[in-house]
Amino acid sequence: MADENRQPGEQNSGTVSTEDWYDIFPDQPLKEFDSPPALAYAASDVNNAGRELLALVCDPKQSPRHEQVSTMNRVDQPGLVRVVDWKVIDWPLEDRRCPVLIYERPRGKRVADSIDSPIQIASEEIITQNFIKPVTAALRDIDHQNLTHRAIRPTNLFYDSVSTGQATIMLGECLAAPPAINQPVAYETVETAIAPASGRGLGSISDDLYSFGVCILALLIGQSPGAGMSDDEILSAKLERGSYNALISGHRLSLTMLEIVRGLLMDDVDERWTLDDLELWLAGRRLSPKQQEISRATQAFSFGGNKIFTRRNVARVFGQKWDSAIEPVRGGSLDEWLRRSLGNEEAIEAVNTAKEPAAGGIETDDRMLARVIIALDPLGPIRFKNFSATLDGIGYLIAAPGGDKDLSKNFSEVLKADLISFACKMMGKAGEDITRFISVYDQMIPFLAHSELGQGFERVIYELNPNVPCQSPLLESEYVYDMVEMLEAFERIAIANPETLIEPVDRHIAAFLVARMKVSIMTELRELQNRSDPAVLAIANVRILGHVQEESGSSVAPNLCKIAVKILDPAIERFRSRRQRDLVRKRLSEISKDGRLADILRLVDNSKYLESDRSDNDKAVKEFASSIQAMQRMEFEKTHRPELAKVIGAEISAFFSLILSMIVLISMGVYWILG
Amino acid sequence: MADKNKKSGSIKAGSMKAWIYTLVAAALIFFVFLDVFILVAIGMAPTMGALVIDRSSRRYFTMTVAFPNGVGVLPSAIKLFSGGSGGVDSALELVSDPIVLVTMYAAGAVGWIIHYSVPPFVAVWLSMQSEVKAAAIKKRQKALIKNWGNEVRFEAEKLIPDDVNVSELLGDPLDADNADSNDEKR
Repeated sequence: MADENRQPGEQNSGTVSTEDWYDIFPDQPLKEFDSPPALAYAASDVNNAGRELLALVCDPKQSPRHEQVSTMNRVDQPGLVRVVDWKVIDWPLEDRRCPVLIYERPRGKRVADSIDSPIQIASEEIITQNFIKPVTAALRDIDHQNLTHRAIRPTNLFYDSVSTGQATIMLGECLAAPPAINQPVAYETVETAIAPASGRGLGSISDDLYSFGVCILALLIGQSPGAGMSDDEILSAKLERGSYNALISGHRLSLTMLEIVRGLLMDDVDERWTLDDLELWLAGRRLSPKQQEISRATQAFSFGGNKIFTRRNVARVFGQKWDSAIEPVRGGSLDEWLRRSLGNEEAIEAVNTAKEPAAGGIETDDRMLARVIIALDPLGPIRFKNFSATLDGIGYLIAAPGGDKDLSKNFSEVLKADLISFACKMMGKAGEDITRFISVYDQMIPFLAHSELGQGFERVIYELNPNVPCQSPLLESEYVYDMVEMLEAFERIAIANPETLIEPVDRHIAAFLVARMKVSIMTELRELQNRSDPAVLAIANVRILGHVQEESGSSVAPNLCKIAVKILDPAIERFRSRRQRDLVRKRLSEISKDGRLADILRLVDNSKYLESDRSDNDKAVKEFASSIQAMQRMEFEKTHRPELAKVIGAEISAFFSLILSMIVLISMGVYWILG
Repeated sequence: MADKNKKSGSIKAGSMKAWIYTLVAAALIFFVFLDVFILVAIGMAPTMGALVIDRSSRRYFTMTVAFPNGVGVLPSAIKLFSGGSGGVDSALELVSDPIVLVTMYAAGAVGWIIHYSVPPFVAVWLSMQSEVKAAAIKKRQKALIKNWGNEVRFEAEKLIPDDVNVSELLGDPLDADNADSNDEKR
């Protein structure tokens, strides 16, 4: 139990306390609960010492889905490890700010330590009662909250007690990393498995049900399906034979279990079992899912050393071997294969449509190939050269660390070529539900078309990812996801590295602020590009910081204010009067202690003061001019001094003579009267 | 031009009038107070001399000599009147008295001395006054430059005629931040 008088964030004997009174113990790692890239440490609730918690310290570069924590917290089911809270803390082991998720600690161990390790086989009854039933209830609740789990795999399943025999199996955490980023290919649907791990997206509950189906199969057969196969082989098998056939690979299941596994592993999302189907199955009603029908060609399509029988697999291989894929498209071998071997009229029609140049755009081989790939696999990810992501995974892909250097260019091409709208069109009925993506991504086109501060690829990252922290190099050791954290980060930097804050707004910070702030800062950002006037630049920088402070609430930042005063030096130089400058500086150093940037700006960027200074300057100039003229007059008088002395002297002499005469006269008069 | 003519015309007319008044007064004194005329004519000789030399419009030199000279003549004039109307003989007797003559001429000489001794003092005073004024102006200019920088000088230079050689008057621009120390070095 922590000391009640302790302040939030205070560290005691290596313990880190969050502001809401969770103690995290860096010296007590819980490796058995690690959820890569997040690492688990023991944690406790200060107000409830008996509550066993664990803290998942996340990788700040792979932002956790923290915006979903409060919603996911409402899911209180035995089939799901419950998330309690999340915080950003100073993590001493990495000497930086890290996001941390607080979870209730599962009592039992992990179902599988690694994806290749054997899984304890349980009876169908136990699997049904202790796994399928509780997890279905948890998924139902998750679906009610409009969320998805996207991390359902044996390595993320936990027993709820030490004795595994009768223990309930729970879904593990799902928020510590972008969705599905750690999912093995076998546990992902064909559509998402083709996309790179960082571009899979949140998906839908149907994707979770597919993963759930693979997990059920894994528990039934005692190993992860597809073990020993490469990702490429698993994907190819799924595309050529269908997921069920590819994953079952010779294992025999009872009719009861075959139903549920086949139903959940349906590749056609419309045919895949839903939560209702699962609940019906649990209630004892037996459903007979249809046998998956894969449209296979009579003869293989030979490309790049592969023998391919399905159109979706052709699309996948085209996406992998982009540079050589245009040849069969242009040369007609693809058309011939579609017509003669596949005999799928709809595919032929779709490919023909894809080959037609897009209206209004510049046509290139790459754009046409991207459309052909979509036509061959309308449900698959959008692919363009090295770019590949599902429609809702694009945001995660572009925000992923260490992305392809051509990512921005290729994404821009995806938008310019109107591939998203084309994909929706190709999906037919299925595309109707996702047409919202067209307008979302269309909004990104102007951002990419402009390279000014607050625009560009950086803006797209923050617009498409509301949970991504600011990726500015300045905030490297911080985790800034909102204005409060931004202000606090600036305040910390102002103490530790004040010199780095002289120009605090870089491209990432600008884009982050534009995307996250309620007020518009476009005027200030335009002014930041005015390098000719350092005063305008300085004021714009501080005004932006002021907006951050305003939006962060009533927080004060005295150290940041001190830096702001330094930044504003060119603006203070606008006062022509040195005395006024000194006065302003003195006043600024006084008010900076209050920590409010708006007060500082009010003093420096004050038109009334500036106008008064200008008017005083005009007066001073006139006075100086008059003094020069006075000096000129004096110079003239100096050269004509004898004449001048003579004239004035004569006048003074006359006066002096008169006075003297009067005195003598009066004396004589007095003498006369007295004498 | 018309005004100028009018002005010079009126001065001419005024001067003429003054001469007429003087002649009338002189004629009156000459015929009515001949004895006084003789005394004044002889006793005020230093003033007459000054009047002849004095070319200034206001006749300050004449006035400077006339006041003490008049005071010097006055006792003799009173003496002339106090003995009743002494007539020309008494006046001649008075002016032939060396003491009286010395008194009148010494008084006139005081005026001459004053006229020639004051201007050098005035020159010194003017020089001192000029130095004090120049120092005050420079101090003020320095204060202005200290507060507003050399820009105030450059801006001011734009306001004054081109024929004024500012560099000659003020020297090279000062370092605004160290205006005081620069001045000391100078």
